[in-house]
Amino acid sequence: MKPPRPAEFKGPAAPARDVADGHTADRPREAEGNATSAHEQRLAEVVAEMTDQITAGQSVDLDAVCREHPELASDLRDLWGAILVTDATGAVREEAPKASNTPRWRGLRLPMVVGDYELLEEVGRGGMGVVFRARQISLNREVAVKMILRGRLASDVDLQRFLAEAGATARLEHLNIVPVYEVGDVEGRPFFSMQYVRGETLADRLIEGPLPQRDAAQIIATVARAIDFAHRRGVLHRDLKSSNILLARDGTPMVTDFGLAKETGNAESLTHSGMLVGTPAFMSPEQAGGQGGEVGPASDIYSLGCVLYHALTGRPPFVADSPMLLVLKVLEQDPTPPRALRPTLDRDLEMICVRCLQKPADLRYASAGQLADDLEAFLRDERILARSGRFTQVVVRLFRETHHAVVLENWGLLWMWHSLVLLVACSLTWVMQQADVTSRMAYETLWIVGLGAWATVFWMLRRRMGPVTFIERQVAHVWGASMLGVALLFPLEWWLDLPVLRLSPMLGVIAAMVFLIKAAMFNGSFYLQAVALLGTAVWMAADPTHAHLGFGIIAAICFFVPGLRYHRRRLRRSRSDR
Amino acid sequence: MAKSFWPQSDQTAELLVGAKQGNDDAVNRLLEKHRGPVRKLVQMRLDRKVQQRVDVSDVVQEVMVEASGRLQDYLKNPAMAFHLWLRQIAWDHMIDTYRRHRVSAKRNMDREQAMALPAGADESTFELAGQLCDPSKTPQQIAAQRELASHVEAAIHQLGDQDREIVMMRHYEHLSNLEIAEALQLNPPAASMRYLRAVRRLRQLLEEQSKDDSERLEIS
Repeated sequence: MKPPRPAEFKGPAAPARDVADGHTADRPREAEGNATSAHEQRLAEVVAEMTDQITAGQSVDLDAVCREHPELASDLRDLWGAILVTDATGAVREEAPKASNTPRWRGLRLPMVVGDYELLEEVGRGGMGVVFRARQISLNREVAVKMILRGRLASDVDLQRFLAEAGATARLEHLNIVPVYEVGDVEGRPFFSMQYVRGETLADRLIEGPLPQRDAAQIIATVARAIDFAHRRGVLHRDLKSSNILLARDGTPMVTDFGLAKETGNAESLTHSGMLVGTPAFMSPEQAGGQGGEVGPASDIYSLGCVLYHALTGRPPFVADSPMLLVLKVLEQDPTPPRALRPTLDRDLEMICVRCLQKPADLRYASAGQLADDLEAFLRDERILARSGRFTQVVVRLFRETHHAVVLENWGLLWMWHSLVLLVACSLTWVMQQADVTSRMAYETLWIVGLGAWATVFWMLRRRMGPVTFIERQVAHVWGASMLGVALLFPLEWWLDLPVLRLSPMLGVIAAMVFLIKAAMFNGSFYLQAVALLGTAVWMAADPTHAHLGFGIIAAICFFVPGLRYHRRRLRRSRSDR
Repeated sequence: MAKSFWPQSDQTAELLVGAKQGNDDAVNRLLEKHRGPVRKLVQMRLDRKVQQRVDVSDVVQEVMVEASGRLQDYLKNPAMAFHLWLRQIAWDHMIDTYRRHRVSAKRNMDREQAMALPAGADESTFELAGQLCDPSKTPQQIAAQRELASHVEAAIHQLGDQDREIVMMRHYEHLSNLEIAEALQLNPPAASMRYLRAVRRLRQLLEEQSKDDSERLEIS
């Protein structure tokens, strides 16, 4: 069966504006007879309404509409099938596989001479362009020529930058880096020529299954050395993946496509997923999410870890149905431990792999050279470096920021205000307690009305700063829950016949819970706040007279310190953005 | 099945507010969110022959650049919904592109082969619709669907420019009657009337097609 031909619609042959004048031509016909024209107009409106519904994805009960407009029934029944069919066609068309993005190179008749090169056959096609086996005419040597798709480089400035960058990588001379011979452009279309390597890519090899572990370690160690060489000359690869590692006939691994994946504006790389960056499966979190993290040598180390993982288990660390989901996994999930997929795998090798795949860049190897050292140590059955950092790494990970912490920059100033409000509320409570106020209503008004009003203001201030993210909604819910808890303390005291303020130590417990949750969401250092507040709760029970003042001070500090820190960070960032 | 062609409008509204307040991030996100749809629109509506000569990405890029340049003017005086405004820019660019490449495109059009119609499709349009809408699809069904779709597309192709335009806006871009009225600068009743006429002609063409097919069957 053949897929639908791309419809040969004549496209915008009739510009909208010219058409817009057309409706004056409709008028005389409408004037033919008032009765028919009223009927027609009525029919047109009902049809428009029904069509609106189906184009919005709702279903329409034709019989019901016909009962409602019996005078239009026969016309409606006559037309409705055609409308449904047309609409379904539009939908089918959308699902149909998109035409290739590379129409211009598609129908290339080979061999064909482009500049100094005679293109002989197409050997590969990637997100960036098409690779040909070619003959360089002037030197009469076999080369690979990669034609870059113009669409990948948005502007001339991009093109210039690409050429400059590719030129820099061309100067890398290393046994395990595919040498670039020439960078240039033909008819505004950038290309570069490089050594033609006979062999296969690591990705091709891995289709048959994972590699023996020592082979994998050897290949990645060699590649890591080459990458280290490039890093020391200031060149990042940025798009390391199994398909960018060529295995020559004699087994020598060679890295190709250096520095070609340009700095990818992250949101954009998502929408163009599968083009600019190929698959995000080998991309580091800082490349995938780009919040705060700088793309640097550590990003290549992460990608090397992915390649190692792929070589050892036969699949990349993260697999998902769509690039978007994949990116979320790269940002948020830890990969399945390699030994879960391949139980016979050496524990040390797994550790090396996991060390590369750490989400925070500073927890990975400090350099590709270190990774190579460790892999070579493994091959010599020596003690590896990755093993040493195990326990401290767990602790460090526990206490560091998560990638959601950026959200807190929106909240810094508000947290500082919040600390003030808490301090005021607690001090007032303390003063009232000292003055022997025993009315439950007085305290309840202070806490429920006062804090409730502040919560509303807080949320409105936050809303004004821009769209509220999903994670912030979660925090808002946690806060809401804590407010409920606090508000319920007073009725409970009354219900249990306890003296007023007897349940106040619970304030500490509730606040500690909030920080415990926030520690998991944002920043491990909040565990400290949680502990401090729990301690406060105990102390409040022991010393009820000063309990509220103490709680107010501790809670205020708990909010003020991170508030100040994140507010400052926001200021720094907005300054550097400018 | 939600068939929104353009991004969700509440979020767009939020971003527009942000853009108006001078939030660059909002501007970027707004344009970025619409890039995909614009691309789809260009792929769908720009003449195929012209598409072989220009990169869709280049057209999309031109559109996005112009949109970002004119965005502030738009925000000061938003005469129509944002996606319709953007669509208008895209449309103008497609017309320009078409005019620039029309001559060379025509040359190839002459060599175009007639569209082969699948035989044996004498079902009523209702049955066709049933088949096209069936959500559980086997590969054979999908193939059949595509065949039917090409049938309908052939009919759409035979429509006059004005009729084809409104049918495609309706069913390919999923625009509502109001949006179409806005985009074509008509009043809504006139837009609905134009659509009614287009659908009538389309229905007639579909009927003739299936009659032709069944006659062909009888002869053979």
